[in-house]
Amino acid sequence: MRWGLGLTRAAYAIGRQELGSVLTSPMPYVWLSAALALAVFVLDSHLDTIDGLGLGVYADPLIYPIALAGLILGLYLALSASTTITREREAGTLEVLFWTPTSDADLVLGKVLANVVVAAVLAAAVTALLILGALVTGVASRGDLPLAALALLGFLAAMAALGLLLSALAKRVRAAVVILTGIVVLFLSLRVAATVLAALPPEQLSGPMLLLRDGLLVVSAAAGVASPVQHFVWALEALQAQDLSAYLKAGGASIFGLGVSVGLSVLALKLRGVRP
Amino acid sequence: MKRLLVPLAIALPLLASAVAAQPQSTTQLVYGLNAFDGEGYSAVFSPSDPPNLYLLADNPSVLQVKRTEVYYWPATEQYVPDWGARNEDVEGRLQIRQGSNILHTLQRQPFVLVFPQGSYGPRQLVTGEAAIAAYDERLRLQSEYERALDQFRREHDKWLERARRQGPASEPKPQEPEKPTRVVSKPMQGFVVNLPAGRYSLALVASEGSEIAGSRRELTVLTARRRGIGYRVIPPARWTSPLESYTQRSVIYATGSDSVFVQPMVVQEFNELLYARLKNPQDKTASAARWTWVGGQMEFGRPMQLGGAAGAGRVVASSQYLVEQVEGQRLGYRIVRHTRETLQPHERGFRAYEVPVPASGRIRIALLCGDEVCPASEREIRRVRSHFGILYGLAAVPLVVALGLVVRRRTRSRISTVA
Repeated sequence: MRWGLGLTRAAYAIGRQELGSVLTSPMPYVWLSAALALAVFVLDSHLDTIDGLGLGVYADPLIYPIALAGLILGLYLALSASTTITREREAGTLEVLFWTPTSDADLVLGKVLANVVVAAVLAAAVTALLILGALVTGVASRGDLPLAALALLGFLAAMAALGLLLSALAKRVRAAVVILTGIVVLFLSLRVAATVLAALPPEQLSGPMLLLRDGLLVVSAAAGVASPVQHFVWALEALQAQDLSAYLKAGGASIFGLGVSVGLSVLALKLRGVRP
Repeated sequence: MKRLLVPLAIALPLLASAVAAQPQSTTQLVYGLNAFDGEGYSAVFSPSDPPNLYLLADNPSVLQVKRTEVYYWPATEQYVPDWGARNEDVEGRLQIRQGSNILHTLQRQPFVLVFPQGSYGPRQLVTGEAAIAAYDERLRLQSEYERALDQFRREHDKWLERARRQGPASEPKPQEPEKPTRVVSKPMQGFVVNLPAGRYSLALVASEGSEIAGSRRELTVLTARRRGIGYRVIPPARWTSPLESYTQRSVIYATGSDSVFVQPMVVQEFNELLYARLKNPQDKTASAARWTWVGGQMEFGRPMQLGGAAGAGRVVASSQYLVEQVEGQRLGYRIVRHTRETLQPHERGFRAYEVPVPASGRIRIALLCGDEVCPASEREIRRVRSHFGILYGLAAVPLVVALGLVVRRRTRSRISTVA
């Protein structure tokens, strides 16, 4: 039986079960606490700087706290989602589940739905704390804070979907975590190397270094197109530049990435099977 | 022999390092620029390599073509001129092309740099006949000042003499004449270039029309991506360390003082690499991927409107402020409104708009262009408070929930084990 959004009763049941499992686990609360503490710390250090001089000039004092809290929560959701299917595969419950009238799509959609709800709760918590922080300290909370919160939600959901894809692909929990860590390190290294080399004037680079720089810039740009982190950064930069069309493009890229991850997860689950 | 060997062993490396520190120089045809940089005029040196020049669009800049000795200075990794060894003007006309079209063929004309606030202040460029007139006027003012100073010294000596004979306060002390602050450089000859944004090439051509070897350069004329009104914000606690607010998004936050001093200025945003090369064509640190804001001419003539609940639509004008040392031997200063419109050479201070900072909430400021608010001139000033205890407390709430969940799990597992 199909419910709204093309979801079956099985998908809803899986989603509800997954959501209950996440919300009754202590880990999301620990990560949320760390993310909130970091956001408050960044805001606190802005005010410390203002206090030191008696004056300060800031365009978007709430953007960095949102970005840093988002990165922590995104990492948590990707890690958590990357173990969700593999854990069931290892325990053998996945095989049992597929004896019932549940399809691959039901399983993936149910888990994505649960993770989107968790992402919404986390994004709402960060936004609420920052709004409260703005009220308490007097820091300007701009009208585009809800847009930043939406960008955060899109990023967290996309990270969860990426984790789910790895979970569908990997045989074991450890493999999924290692692959996720590898991807994060690779993206970060590419980004740092490309940023450093792009900042150097061309005259300072010799022939092979110039080639390496151009190659890295192309690879980094290509990786950026597929990276949820890059979409999140684009969205926040677009908000700072007050460029609504760039914001919508970044949001669209985030949602597209989410859709691709979900589609690939269903496919990977079909191909990989239910046994480790 | 052995006695000679030791000093020789010490002296030889020193001699070698002395030889290494003497750089090789080559004779080059170079360009010297007085380039408008958005704030004033910068002196720029451009050797033959890299063969690129940069100017700001729609503002006059002056180019001089010289032959000089150029050497590489490793400490700064740049080529520098040795004007003492050679400083020759290269004759010819300056031809500016865009593609294959010749846009302008310029003749040299006289120019001077005027420093209205003294040698260390901003510079203005004056060209043509006006340059000669400005220099003559400066000479006239200088000789008038010297005459007045001579007279003052004579009168002062007489006054001292009378005071010695008749006692102090017998008659008022003569007033020393004010030294003219305006400085004008000696007139020089150069090509005045004023072009719209774009890419050009230029070269010096001799009278018979042939291009002078080594004079060709690629010229990039750059323009700002964005313009607006920026503010230099002076903290009363550290008046020598102003902050800048370039865009309307940037909010000015204050904590301690009851007022802040703001100085409006015209601001422009340029590509960082092009702007750095405008100031120094040999710059190797800037990036084409970044943008930089540049503050320009101050805007003290316009009224400032204070808005929001704390401002109530009041309009304020700029004033001169004086920074006074506190009396006694203690360190410290206070900022007071000056009774005069200009500072004396011995006085320290600044011109600014004083804006009250409300005890809570915010105040808006904007410059007025006639009856309207000047575009991109609005800013918000807010007082901030440091109340982070409650925020850190709230950040810890999820941790408490996590602890509660762990305790609940343990309790349940214990009950099930007992059962």
